[in-house]
Amino acid sequence: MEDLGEIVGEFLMESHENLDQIDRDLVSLEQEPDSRDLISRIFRAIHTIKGTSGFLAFSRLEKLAHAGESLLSKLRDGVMPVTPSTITTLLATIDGVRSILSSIEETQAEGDVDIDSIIAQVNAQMKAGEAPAAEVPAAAPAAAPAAAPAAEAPAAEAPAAEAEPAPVSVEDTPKRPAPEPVENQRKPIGEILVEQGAAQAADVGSALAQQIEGDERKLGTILLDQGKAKPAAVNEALQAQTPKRSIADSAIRVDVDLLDTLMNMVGELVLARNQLVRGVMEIGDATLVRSAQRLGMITSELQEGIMKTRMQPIEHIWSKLPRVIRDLSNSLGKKVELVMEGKETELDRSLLEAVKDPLTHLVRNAVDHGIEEPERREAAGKGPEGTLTLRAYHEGGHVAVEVADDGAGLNVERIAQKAVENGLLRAEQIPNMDKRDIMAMVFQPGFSTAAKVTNVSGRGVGMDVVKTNIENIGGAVSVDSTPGEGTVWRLTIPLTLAIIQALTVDCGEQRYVVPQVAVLELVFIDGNSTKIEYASGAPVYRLRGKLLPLVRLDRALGLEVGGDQGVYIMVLQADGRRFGLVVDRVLNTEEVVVKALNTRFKDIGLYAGATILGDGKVGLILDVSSLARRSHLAADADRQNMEASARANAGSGTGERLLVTAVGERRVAIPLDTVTRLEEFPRDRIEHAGSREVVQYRGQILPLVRLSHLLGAYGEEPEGDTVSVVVYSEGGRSVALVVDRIVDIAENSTTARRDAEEDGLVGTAVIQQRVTELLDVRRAILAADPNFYTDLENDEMLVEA
Amino acid sequence: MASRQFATFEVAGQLFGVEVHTVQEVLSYNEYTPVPLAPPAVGGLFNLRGQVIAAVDLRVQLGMARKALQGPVMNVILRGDGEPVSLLVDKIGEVVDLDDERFEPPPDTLSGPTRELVVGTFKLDGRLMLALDVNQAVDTYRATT
Repeated sequence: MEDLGEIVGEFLMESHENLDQIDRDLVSLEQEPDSRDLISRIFRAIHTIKGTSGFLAFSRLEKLAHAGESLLSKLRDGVMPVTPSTITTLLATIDGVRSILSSIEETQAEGDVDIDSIIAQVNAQMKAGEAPAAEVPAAAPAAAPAAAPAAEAPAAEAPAAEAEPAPVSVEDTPKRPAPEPVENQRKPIGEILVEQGAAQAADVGSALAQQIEGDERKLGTILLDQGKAKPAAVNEALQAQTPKRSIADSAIRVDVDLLDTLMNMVGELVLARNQLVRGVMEIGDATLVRSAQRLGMITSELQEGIMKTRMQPIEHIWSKLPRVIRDLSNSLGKKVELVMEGKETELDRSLLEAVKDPLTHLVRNAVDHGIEEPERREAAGKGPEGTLTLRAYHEGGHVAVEVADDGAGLNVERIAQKAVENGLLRAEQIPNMDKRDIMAMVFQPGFSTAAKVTNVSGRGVGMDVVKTNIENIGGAVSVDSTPGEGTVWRLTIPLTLAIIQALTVDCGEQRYVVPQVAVLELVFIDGNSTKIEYASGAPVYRLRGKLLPLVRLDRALGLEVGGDQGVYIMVLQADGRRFGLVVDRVLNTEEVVVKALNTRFKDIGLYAGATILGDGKVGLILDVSSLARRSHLAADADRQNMEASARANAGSGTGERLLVTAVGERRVAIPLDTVTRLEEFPRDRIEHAGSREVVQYRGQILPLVRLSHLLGAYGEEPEGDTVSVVVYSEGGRSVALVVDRIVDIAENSTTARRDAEEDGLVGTAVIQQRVTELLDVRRAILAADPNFYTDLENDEMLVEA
Repeated sequence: MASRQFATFEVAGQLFGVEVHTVQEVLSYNEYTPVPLAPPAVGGLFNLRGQVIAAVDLRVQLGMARKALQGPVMNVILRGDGEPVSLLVDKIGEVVDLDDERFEPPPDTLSGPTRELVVGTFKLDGRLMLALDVNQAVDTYRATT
């Protein structure tokens, strides 16, 4: 039974591959209905599935495959023409086969997939197809002329093959390095060119004659030189000529786990090599140095080789898209042509997996919202058929994947208006915002500008998921659009996750690692010709005349702050913002293996991971974008995110939603219902009124209360030029609670809850595995404004009275 | 008679123990990478055969002042929940077989952070061993006030 299980497993794997291919071929067949090659290929694939399922006694599967095969044989024999409706029927058949296969995979049985209706559909199609027999002769002549010159070509080539060796045997010095062996399965290039219609039979004949007369050039070259064929056509013919190795000969299946293990071991090897090289350099023995260098080279090659085994062309995930687009555009009554560029671009397979869903979503979105209906396109002066372009290419250690449509484009005003409605932006912010920043709002949770919700997209879920998924693998998403001309969604994906190029830097007594992708340039500050300046306390550097905001790594890490001289500025780019990171020393670039950091450090947020450095010590890898955020560079974007997720989360789930904040070393949660806004105020805007701290806010005087004082939390005041506050408004009055940091939004679903023993709290609970104190909001508000509720209650009394 | 095996170690003169099956290995290590902004109980990170391990300073967890990590420090590496985590201790003791009848709940007079980490007391010949709650002991976010 065990053996049979293995056979079935292999059958499933093989069939899935075959089905994917069939899907692709069917969609292409619709584009070129005369392609006999495609029909035969589909036929063979489905025939294999039928045969094997018969052997394995999956009778229903066999029956279904048989029905599909019968329909295909009619197409193959030219009895029936290929029409969109036959393609639809065949696709339905393939779907049926697929669902039976998944049922077999899950339950080892064929299950109760409804095959009868599909078979009935196939039969109806066959009956209908036989009737318009008039179409058949029309198809037949089309094939005939193509065959005719092909028949002539071998005749022309044949004498060449025979004649060529003759002069060679006579003369001792062969005219050509070696006559190419003409194998049975290898068609002469002339023949291929004639078949493809890329060259005239007569030209090929004369070129051959030239060769016989002693022209040493290759046939293709002669034709090219004479301008009788196009370079692209010759190339294509040469590729067609190379005998195709069957898949069984050229590839083997390897367990992914095994590859992962190998990958990890190579990672270790890279580390060991780095340590060894460093040690050997210190000793300085010439022989050892040479050996170490050689080891280094071999390791690099091995690493590259192993990485390659995990690389797969992006075609793998693109292959499902033609089908998706066909089905979707048909159901929406749109016409969409799909263009794929750079489908051979390779990505690590784990990354490919992660990109698959976001990419599908973007494609569906582009068909649904991007490309307009044929009538609207024509009205706008465009062709009725829209074009969707998938493009993949390498770009500086990353792979860029674009989904571009030539549709109506994003409506920036609508997005801006929607963002204001949703409270993501303030109306006065809009005029100063970059067009692309406004467009980026579509990646916010719960954001959709679709006028109506379709079952495809428009529910506002999705784009934020796309963003999260891509950011999870260290990538980025952006969108650009020109009204009337279309939209380009762009994913930037790292090549691999496991090994990155990094710069090691010193800060204080410790060494840190900065991913090199983020580094634009390095500047040495000597204090004379180059120096750090301060704009009202904020450190900046004049980089080619423009001010670059600076972040001191020591300050960001809460370490002792060093001097401004003899330090380095690393110019970094993250989240579309540029800033300088001040470090003590930049050491070297190294390839480091990224190790996941213990989950307990996730909360800190400043570290992207850890690695083992050349000396065997652990080095922390800095998370550049969160460093930028932490340093208030991206404060606005961050707060918007928080608010948006607050909104998106509201309404779903059962537990109470809480805003988790950090106050000293404590975590304090505030019920989200009581939060009106999250704000950040510059420290210097805080003024004093009596014993109270206040700020001017939207034409009001907003009293502040510091939760750290209220709760008696000890600890230093956080550094920084701004304070984070939680604003609570009711009945026209507002108060602001000052916290050290906004941590997260969480759902309080735990039962581990204790009543408070402390003033100002209603209790403690375990939220996200951490003990969190629940704030007594009423008490906190009264501390800020003792009259807050009195006035309200008076108002209510008035109403009642 | 049911008995359990405990790996014992000392922190500030007090003998502690954890059940042997929770321990992956014990070793001494002398270079720790500090993690700025991490909770105070995190002593640092070190490299265990290519794996990055977080070391939790048991001293801090017990409410005592942190000692500078200089020279070799003993690590009791616990299997943890999926990821190994290490406890920094002063001295490694023996592995002892203990009958359940030697066990008693923690004395009422024991209070403070230690009380929260300890599940019970074992009466050994001549001294007492406090059995640690492994999960509590490595929880660096436990309020250490």
